[in-house]
Amino acid sequence: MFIRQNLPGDLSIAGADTSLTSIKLPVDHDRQAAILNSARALLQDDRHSVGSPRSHLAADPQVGMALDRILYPITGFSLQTNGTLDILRRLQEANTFSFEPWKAPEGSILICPTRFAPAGPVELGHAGILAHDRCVYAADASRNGAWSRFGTLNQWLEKFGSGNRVYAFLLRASVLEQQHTRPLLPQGHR
Amino acid sequence: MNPNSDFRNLPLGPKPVPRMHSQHLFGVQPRHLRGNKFVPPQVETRPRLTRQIPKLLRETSESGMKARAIPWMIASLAALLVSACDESPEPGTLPGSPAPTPTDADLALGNQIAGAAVGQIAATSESSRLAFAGPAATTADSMQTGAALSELGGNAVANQQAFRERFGLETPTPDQLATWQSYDARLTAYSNKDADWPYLTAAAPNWEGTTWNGDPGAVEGTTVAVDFNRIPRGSLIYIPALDMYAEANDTGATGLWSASDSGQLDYGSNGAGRIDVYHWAGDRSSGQVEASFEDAVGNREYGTIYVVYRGSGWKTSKE
Repeated sequence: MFIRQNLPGDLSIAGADTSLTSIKLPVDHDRQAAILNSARALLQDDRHSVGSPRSHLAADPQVGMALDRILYPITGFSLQTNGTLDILRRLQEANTFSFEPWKAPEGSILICPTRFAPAGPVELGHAGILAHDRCVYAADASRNGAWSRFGTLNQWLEKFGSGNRVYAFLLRASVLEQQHTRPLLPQGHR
Repeated sequence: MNPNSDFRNLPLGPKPVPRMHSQHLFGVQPRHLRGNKFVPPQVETRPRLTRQIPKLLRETSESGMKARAIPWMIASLAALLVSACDESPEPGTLPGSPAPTPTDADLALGNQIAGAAVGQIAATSESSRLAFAGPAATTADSMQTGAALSELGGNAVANQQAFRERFGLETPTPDQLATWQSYDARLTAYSNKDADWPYLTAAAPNWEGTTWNGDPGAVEGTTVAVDFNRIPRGSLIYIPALDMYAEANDTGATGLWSASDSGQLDYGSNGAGRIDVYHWAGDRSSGQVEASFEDAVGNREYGTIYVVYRGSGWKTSKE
């Protein structure tokens, strides 16, 4: 998660990914817990902020959940995870076609998994849907997870794929015939 | 019998007596042959790829165990080669995709998903407010225009309104957008408090003439700085992200931008480069203006802008 400090105490999330479950944290369990708790606290509430509007840190960078809201009603398929690495695995194992991103047909799911090294840097990943206008639509962590348009495919690739490998998957129509579990949705979601 | 002939699984000649099988092939005595109870190995009956393999194996086999294992290895290798030939992926596809060509049903499902992705934007008014290069603004979007332009400070909203009224400009429809020339671009901000471009002197090295309302300097809400090598001075442009018409009166540090942005897409063949939107800082610092604008535009910093009219001729034709 990238935090931008505009003024003292005025923090905002510039970018975020929730691949925490995929990151190999230090063996020391106390340190693991401390890191995870801090990250979760920042993602879920703004108790750590000082003098910052709630909306700035009440981020909802749950890219998988946002995609599930699109995919599940249409296909019955859900990603069931918010981590970009897990989303990639889920799509690789699912009944999908895979493409190079620039050859992907409309409706393809683009996934750029977060890449990191133990000593850094961390290249935040992202996931979205390629639409008819060849633009990418996805949740925007810097806008409280709002579903947003991220410019053209090439622009999205330049922004997220310059340091990371990008994959594209198209769900097969046969997924409609399969049984799927319900997606991860926030409480109260209908 | 020709020792090089590959007769084991092909109906091309007499087969050896079963208990002589491995001895014939490899010169090794079977270890567990008792009477006529020889059980032949259950090897897949695939065509042999070469007739030389048995000869070579006979020279290298040293034990009955290895002799029994080698036919399995040969069969596995043959199966691997055959299967690899059968399922080689088409260029441009990744492994793991058994059928690289989607059917019409698959593409229809994709279209449905793509439509839903766009539709979700319309359903989320907060995100559509500043969606960069979004579809033509709806009435509801137009109501949000003031909120987006107010980010530019000062009288930006009123200036945009007056600009539109004077030149008869309305929020474009999709059909109108289709007739305008679109460019990849990058939205950035500058203000009257930038150290290198203080108000009025913003016009000094880069400015010629006056703005649409006679102001000698930049006007918040209608002025942008562009690379004049890409967009001619005085052009009328439309920025969907802000639902904003603007005059390209100013040019920033074009040389610096070209150097620093040359690798970016907005400086590609269809790139307009940076569209530097002028802000009235008010009581904000230069840094606060830029941070606030970046926060508002978010990841839609990169997107599309439209050139409605190239050059400054639109002003004389409409006045």
